Amino acid sequence: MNKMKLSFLSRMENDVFARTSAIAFLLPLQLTSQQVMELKTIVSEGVVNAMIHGYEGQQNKMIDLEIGYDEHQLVTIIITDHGVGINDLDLAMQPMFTTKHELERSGMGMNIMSAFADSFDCFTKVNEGSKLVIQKQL
Amino acid sequence: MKYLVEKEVLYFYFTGDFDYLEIQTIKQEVILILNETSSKKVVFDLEDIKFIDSTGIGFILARYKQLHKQQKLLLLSNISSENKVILAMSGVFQIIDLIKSEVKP
Repeated sequence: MNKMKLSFLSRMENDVFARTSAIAFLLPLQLTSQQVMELKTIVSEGVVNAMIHGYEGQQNKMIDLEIGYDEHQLVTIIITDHGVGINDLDLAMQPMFTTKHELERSGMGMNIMSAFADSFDCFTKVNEGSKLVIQKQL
Repeated sequence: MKYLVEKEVLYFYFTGDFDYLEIQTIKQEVILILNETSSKKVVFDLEDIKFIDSTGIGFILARYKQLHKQQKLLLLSNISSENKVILAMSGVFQIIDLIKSEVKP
């Protein structure tokens, strides 16, 4: 059993910091290149959603990334923001749904995270923030 | 990012990551070049792209739509097997064909 926690500002350049740090922490698990891609994608989608949607692009807010794994190679990733929350989670989970069309992001982030994970939960409250809890069995 | 025209096909060569930060830095230039090109066919060579997330997918789909409006075609080439997984999962290959291209800058 091992775990870590990172807190960083909601600045765009911290997206790459978050996903590469996650992979660095998980190096002892001898990940395949496919697993690296999937884990990086999960972290990036969650972190960028926190930046763009949770904090609506404000760059001076904190995002927490917690990662743990156990002796059975079950990886748990928790991404927390204290932003605006998600008004309608069912709608947010629909493929191609996005509230910010002008950014030309695909609206697939939540679906991609969910597809690459073995379990995916989102706890959110309007004006309090969102917490994603994602588990992946390697 | 590099680009060139060969036999009336416009080729783009992207490097690094197709993530939120890097897409922001190239997007406007790519939109401009695509609006001005006389090529009817455009190829995005993704051989040197290490990582694609949903922002990268959104960028590819948006450029496809931009070209489609001008009756132009977008193709993708030289994608790594890891990146193919996420593009396939997002349905990109249902509308954009994948080709093998030997044309390099």
